[in-house]
Formats: sequence, C-alpha cells, structure tokens
Amino acid sequence: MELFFLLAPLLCIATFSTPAPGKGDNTEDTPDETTILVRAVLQGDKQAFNRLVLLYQSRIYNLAFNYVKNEEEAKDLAQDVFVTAYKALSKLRDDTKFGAWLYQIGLNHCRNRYKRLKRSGYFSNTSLDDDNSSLQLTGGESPEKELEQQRTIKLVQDTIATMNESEKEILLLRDLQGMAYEEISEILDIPLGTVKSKLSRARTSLKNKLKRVYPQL
Amino acid sequence: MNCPDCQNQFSDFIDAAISRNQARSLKEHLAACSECAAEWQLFQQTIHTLHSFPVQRVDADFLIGINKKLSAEPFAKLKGWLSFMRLHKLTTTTALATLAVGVISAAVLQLSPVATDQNLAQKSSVDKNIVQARAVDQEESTYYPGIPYLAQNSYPEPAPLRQTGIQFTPVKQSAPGSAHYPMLDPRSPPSPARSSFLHPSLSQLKSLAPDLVVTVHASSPAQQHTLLSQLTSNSTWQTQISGNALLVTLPCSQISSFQDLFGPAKPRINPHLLARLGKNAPSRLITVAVAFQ
Repeated sequence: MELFFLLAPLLCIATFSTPAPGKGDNTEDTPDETTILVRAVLQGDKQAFNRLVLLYQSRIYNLAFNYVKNEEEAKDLAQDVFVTAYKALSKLRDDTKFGAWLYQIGLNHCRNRYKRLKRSGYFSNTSLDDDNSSLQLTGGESPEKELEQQRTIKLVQDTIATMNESEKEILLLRDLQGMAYEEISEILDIPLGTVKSKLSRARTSLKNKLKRVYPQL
Repeated sequence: MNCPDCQNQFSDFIDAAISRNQARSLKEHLAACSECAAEWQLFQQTIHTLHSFPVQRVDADFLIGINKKLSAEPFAKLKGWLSFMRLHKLTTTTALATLAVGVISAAVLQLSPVATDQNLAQKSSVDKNIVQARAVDQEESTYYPGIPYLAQNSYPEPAPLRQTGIQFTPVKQSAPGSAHYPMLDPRSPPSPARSSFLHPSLSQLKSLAPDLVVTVHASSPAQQHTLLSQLTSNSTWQTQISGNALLVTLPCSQISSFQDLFGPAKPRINPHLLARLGKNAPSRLITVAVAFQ
C-alpha cells in the first residue's frame, strides 16, 4: 500500500501527458485490457483497480466537469463514481461492459449532484460574466483569438446548461466524450436509431438556442 | 429534398452516418438553398465549438483521494449529512438549538413526578401503614406465634422456637388448594439503585418497595420486643422503623440468619430467586418488611 501511494502521483502525472480520451488518445485502454483488469479486481487485486481508475479518470472527471461546471464538485463526484464502482463491481454482470457500466454510474452521480447543486441555488448564482471556469486552451493562437474562443465556449457551456437532462447527456457523450453511437446506446440503454434521432434533436436544439440567445455568434 | 428533410440530416451528415446518395442529395440542396446553407454553417460552427471544448486535467491526488474515501467509508455518511445540512442552509446554530431542546426535554422528563413503582409503594405504605409489595410473584407470609401450622403442604410441622421463646407458625395466605410452603420470595430482582441502601436516607427507605412482606402476629408486646431486638441487633443489617412496620435490609448472603430467627418454622426461599439475586454476592441486598399485628 505504501508503494502504491508513492507511485500513484507518478502514475497520475504520467496520464497528464496523454491526450484527451476520445480525441486521439492512443493510450486509451482496449476492451481486453479493461476486462483483464476487472477480473483481477474481482480476484482481490487492488492495484488492478488503481490501473482502472487511471484509465478512466480523465473521461469520468471531464464528464462530471461538463455536467456540473465546477472543478471541486467534479473531482469529488468523479471520485465518488469510482468508489461506487469499486463497491459494486461484484454486481457487474458482464465484465466486458465495464466502461458502459461505469458511465452509467457516472451519469447517475452527475444527475444527483446536479439536482442537489441546483436546489442549493449554485447555478442561479453563476452568470455569464463569471470567469470561474478555468478553461484551458491549447495555445498556438493569438491572445485575441484565444479570448474569443474562450468566450464562445463559455456561451455554449451556459447554453448546454439550460438544456434538458436527456439532450445534455447525449451531447456530452457524443460531442464532448467522443463516443460511438453503439457505446451511447449501451450507456443510455436505448436503441441505436433513438440515439441518432435524440442526438440530432439535441444538436439542432443547441444550434437554435445559440442563434436565438446569441445572434452575434 | 425539402428544407426540413435537409436540416434533419445535418447531424448524421456531420457524423458521416448517411449513405452516399443521401449525402449527394443534401449537398445539392445546400448549394441551391441559401437558408439551409446558413443553417448548415451555424450547425457546423456549433459542433466545432463543442469539439473544441478544453479537456480538464485531473488533479494529481485524484487516485489517492479515491483510496482515502474507500478507507474512510465510515465517515462518509457523517460527511454526507453535514453536506446536506450545508446545502439546506441548516446552520450550526440550528443544530445546537435542536440539541439543546432535546437535552432540556430529557431533563424535564427526568425531574417530573412520574408515577413510578416506588411512588406507588410509598402510597401503599401510607395507606396501610405497612410496606407491601405489589408484584404478582410476591409471597406474603403471616406468622401466628403459638398457633399450629395450618398450611397444606408436605413439609414437616415446625417445632417451637426455643431460642427466642416465641413460637411462630407460618400460614400461607393463598388460594385454597395451594400446596406449597410460604417462602421468602423476593418481589423482584434487586436493581442497582438498591446498593444505596447501605447508607439509606429516610426518603429512600419510604420510596423503596420491599422484596418481601412478613406479617407477625405476636400474642404479647414481649414477644414483639424480643423479635425486634433480634432483628435490630445485627450490625450488618440496615433497619428502619416506620409505624408498626420494620424495614430490614440485609445482604443476600445472610438470608439464612434471617430465617433462623424463626426457628424450625422458618420460611423457605425460592432457590431460583436466590440464584437470580446472587446469594453469595455480598453487595446484593434484600429488603424485608416485617409488620407486627
């Protein structure tokens, strides 16, 4: 365990150098690797669970962040997702479906946390002028262009926040997480055709909202 | 292809999820329809913006935090409760006020004159001028000095008590047909509060229901005096006179000495109850009310 705590920061730092999942990340796990790790965890290998966390932490954290738009809440939420997964791993029926199962847990946590924050008035206290979301652009562009892009992203984020749960989730999974239709179908437990139609409606809805609310965009 | 059909295919078109023929028809319509072309531009820009969302870096202590949460799971519920309080704007003052109300309520309940068994026993002693037990399993014995033994039982007939000169004959006051000998049957198991009887106050004595009530029918004041002197002469027994009743508190281990005062006619004690009391435990006490008629 001591060795783990010594190596964990190094492993975390190592993951930082990897691109975002679903966006050209070549180090992402293959289903085989995930399945092997899941089986190892079920046999009592805690290091295998740590490896699973490292494989999925970026995806789950970004899902959480784009859902609740708060770094601390997203971090706590994403950690809770893994804690829940660890405790419920024995209930996973098909160990080849760990990714979809983890996302289902993640979405459930996101929904609950979002509702809790909404009840507490957290989202009503944030305005478009707030600059508390630490957007990190990749650089290489002029400061003016970066600023403009940052502002556009902020506008889109705020518009997504106004969308209903179903539309928001399918946008997060497809356009922010870069998931395939089949994966979304598994996670949301809806047919492939429904995924396509829902995604089309959600994208069109976002476009129309942006056009209506921010005509200058 | 009309405009609604065209715009409905934007999503599939941008994901390259439509057939070549559909894609060709859509491109032809976009080239011919400026309105759909503008919508397509905005749609593309929207999706491009979504795809350009920055990827948030995960903190270095993310994994360590998970392991801490797993190891500190017992405190998670408390944390969740505190978080619930914070979210629902329940301040610390509110929590403390709630706690204070609970404590005060408990204190009021403790101090209020609730009708307890001890209070009822005290009322009974005032009315009848004798401490009586009220439990169902209470065995009350009555002794008639010099009167032959009347109870129907298989025990040998008691001989006269030579040591004191008083002949006590136990008579069981029970339903006809009852065939067991009257016993010094503790009314209830001793409670911890009874330890305070080693240094009792008068109020404590009055409020305490005895374990056993014995009624003595002595034929003369001399006989009463003799028995009284025997009961009060033992330095380890606590005695308290109330009217014509005597409350004797003695260790369970000395119950046989108490029985000896009545000679061969001594009442028996239920062995199960003695075992329950802890016969040989010096700290266990039994309280007997002796009433003289």
